[in-house]
Amino acid sequence: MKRLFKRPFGQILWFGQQTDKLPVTFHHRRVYILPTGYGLLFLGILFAMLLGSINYNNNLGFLLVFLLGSIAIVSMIHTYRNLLNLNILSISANPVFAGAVVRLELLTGAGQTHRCAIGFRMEEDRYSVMDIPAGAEQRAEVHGRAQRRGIFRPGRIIIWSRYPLGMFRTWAVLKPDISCLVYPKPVSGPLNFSGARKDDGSTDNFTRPGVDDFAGLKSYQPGDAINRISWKSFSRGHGMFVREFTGGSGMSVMIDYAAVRRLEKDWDQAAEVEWKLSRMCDMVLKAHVMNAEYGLRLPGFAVPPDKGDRHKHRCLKALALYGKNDE
Amino acid sequence: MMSHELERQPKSKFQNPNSNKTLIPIIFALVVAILPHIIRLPLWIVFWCAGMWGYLLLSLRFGWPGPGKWLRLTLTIIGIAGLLLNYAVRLGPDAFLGLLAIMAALKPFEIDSHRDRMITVFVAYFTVITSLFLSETLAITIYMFVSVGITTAVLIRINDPQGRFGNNLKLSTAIMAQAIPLMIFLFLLFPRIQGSFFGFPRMGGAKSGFSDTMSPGDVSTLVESDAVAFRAEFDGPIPAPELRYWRGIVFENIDGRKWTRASWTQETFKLPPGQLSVAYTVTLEPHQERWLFALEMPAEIPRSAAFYRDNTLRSRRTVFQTLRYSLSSHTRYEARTEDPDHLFHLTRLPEAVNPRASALAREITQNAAGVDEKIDRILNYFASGGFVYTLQPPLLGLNPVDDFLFKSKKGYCEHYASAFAFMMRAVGVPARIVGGYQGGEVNPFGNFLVVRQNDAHVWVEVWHPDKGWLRTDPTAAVAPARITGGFEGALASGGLMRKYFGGLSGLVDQIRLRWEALSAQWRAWFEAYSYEQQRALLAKIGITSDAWGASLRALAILLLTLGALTIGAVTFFILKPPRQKPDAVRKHYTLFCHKLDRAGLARHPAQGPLDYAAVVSKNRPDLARRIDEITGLYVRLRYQDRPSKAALADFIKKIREFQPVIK
Repeated sequence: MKRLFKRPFGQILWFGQQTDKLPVTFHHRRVYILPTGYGLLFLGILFAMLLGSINYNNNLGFLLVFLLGSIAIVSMIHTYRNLLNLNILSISANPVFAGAVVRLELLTGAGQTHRCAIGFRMEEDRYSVMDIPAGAEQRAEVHGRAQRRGIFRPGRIIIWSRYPLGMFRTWAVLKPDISCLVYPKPVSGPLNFSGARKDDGSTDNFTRPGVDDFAGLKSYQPGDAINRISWKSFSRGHGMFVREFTGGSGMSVMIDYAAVRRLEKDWDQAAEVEWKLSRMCDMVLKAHVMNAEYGLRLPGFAVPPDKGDRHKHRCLKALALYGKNDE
Repeated sequence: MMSHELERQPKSKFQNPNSNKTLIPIIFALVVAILPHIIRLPLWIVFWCAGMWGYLLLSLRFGWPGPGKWLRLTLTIIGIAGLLLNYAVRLGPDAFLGLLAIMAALKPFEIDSHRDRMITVFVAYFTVITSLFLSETLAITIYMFVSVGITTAVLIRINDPQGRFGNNLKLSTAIMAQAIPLMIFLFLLFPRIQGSFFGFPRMGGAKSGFSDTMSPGDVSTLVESDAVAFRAEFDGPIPAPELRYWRGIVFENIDGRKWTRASWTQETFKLPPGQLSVAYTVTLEPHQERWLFALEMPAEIPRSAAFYRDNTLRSRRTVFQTLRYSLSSHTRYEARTEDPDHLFHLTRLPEAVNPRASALAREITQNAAGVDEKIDRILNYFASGGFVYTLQPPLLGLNPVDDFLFKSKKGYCEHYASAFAFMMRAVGVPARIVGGYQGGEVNPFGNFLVVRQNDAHVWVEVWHPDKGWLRTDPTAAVAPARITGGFEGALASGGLMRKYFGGLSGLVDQIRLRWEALSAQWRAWFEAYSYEQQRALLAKIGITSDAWGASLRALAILLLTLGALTIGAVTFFILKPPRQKPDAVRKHYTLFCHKLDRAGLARHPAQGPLDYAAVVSKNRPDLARRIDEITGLYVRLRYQDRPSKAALADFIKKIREFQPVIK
């Protein structure tokens, strides 16, 4: 029943496919309301009571039926107003690896109304319910699952409420103009950097990255390797810092698509590509942790060797988007 | 904040924080809803409810386990079996109420899901309405509003378990206040019909003070009920107590013991002429009969009534609902029209019954000049013969009048009236017994009389050749206080309460009278509101009958259709719980998980397939490859736009072949 109301009606009533520019206010043309199954059940009970009252000509029965009916109707207005003029101020999401949960964080503003039990959900079984006090801003999280690498575009986010009586369900649909990068899922394996190049041009098997010289501290960014966090300074209360080193050997490696060996012979082309990208992703992460200077070489595209978070992200992005330029 | 994240199904509801927060309010709502029924329910059901709810509340406190599915089922069966035993003879509204109570007692044991909680609250609503069919008093009406307010607050709580119950109550009160104008509008304008759809089973109904037969001596204790029989509002001053004879029924036939009423022959009799007219409106409690009560003698009859030759009124319909009618009476009248044949019939007595009474009557009235003197002599005999007015007279034998006159000499109005009528007939004077009410309590806060069941009374009418029917009340000769002071005044022990609690009793009386005044007004225009009153109201605001009636009827039909459709939808909703039908992919994946479960590698409900595969592969490297394959296929089938049929077949085949060795 719930599904019946959620899907087709939402699609029928949702004009156009264009995405929403934030911030968005749910004005009355965007807020829908329909009775829930419980509302219909309640209506059925009222109807039975009404028949009884007519039959016995029982005025108190009439009075109660009309009282309960009026309560249901009044509750409809309460339910509708619970969502009306709710503001969605911003949405943010961090890149994730394929197969992981994408967390979209919505910043919501209540406006003048105190809002109770507002639910947020994306097309996933998980949802969250929360109150937003009048005048306050509140963060809500919705989850999606990024199954494949590339760009994750969240579908419709449904913001709904059945408060206060559960007899009506009001909802609004948000199609946020946001995309989230999905890196390939890292598949752990050996660190074979065949094809790594020294600056002098000779090839050599990668042996050990330079983690020699301590260069200084820089402030922590999400994604920095945990084993490089300067716990000493953190414990002194100076904040989170990461130790930086310079690669003493001056060696840089290339993580080469062509050098990743496939594991099984009977794979089809697509599966093989995905597997190779996953392996490369794993190597990038490992190289980053080791603070090596590394580059990336994909068919028709290369990232020159470098190090650091920006570089890591650049490499992972290249892997995420490989072969997906048409999207 | 994330209150509804997928979580592991709790083993007992007591681990579920949401249940804790809603269980107590739900039980509270059920108790409030069922409270008015307690007297009507068999004792074991009351204990059943108290036991179940008590256990639940205590288990909340001490962490006792909740009953499992099978125990719940067993309890349900036991409850229904008990119900069948209890009500085997008649499955009426009482049995339905019992069923509701048993369900209400068991339902809180399974309120783990939102759905169960909602349905439990609906059971509470349904219980509230059943109490309305018991009585319609102002008290019950007020209680209903309180009860609905509480139940609605609980409903709000269920939909917002985080809030405070005080806030829930506040909101529910606000919603109710906002709903009331609409409720009043619907109440006044919803089309009312005359009669009913399916007929009335007899429900509730106070015991009436009298019936349509009368046999003094058969019942040793009169029903002492202070339930209200009717109320009468007077346009002018209220008549004196000795004039308050409310005529209802006339007994004309006697078979020795039992008096029965005259056959209902409606003739176009003229109303007896008279003077001293009083106009008044009666609000009659439903008594499931057709008697209407009028001050003697009716001078003008209401439209809803028919007039009979014995000067009584009858309603055109059985009085199932509070009935309101206006009429006027002459307190001084001359009922002189009567058919001679009929008069002859009214001197008849069964032969060979009460011989001593007949002899006594003849002896007393010897040489009496005219009917007046005969009456006086016999009344005198009652007044001076050592007779006692009591509500607990001894049982009488085969010659009840003889037994009463010569042996017991104790009785109430029925004994005196029947003895008097018998003796009058024995000396050839036509006489009959009139039943109804006598007296009534004046409420100073409204110009009205309250007449109660224990004001029920019978008196005698004697035919005087010149004056017509004369009202004669032999009870007044024995216990004059009964007539002037009302029911309590006639009994010696009546004033006990007043004697000991003088001042307090006065205050209580004040409150009681005020409450009754309020109640009476409520009844007068709430309970009696029906088809006629609705038409009158509409006429008053300028809408006249036919067009309105037609449109209302159309509206009613529309409503009924809508209702029927809703019931259809609801049945669908109940029969089909919102559960997804598993598709082939999901089904086989579940099978796969099940196989792993048997191998000791259960899947946590919150685990995604990929996480699960990773964990299992770590624990059982020997299975890792096949698990990866199957999981990969599953993910592809679930999330790819158009998975190939071959992949599905492969998936199913792989799962069928998958046999993890149990380590």
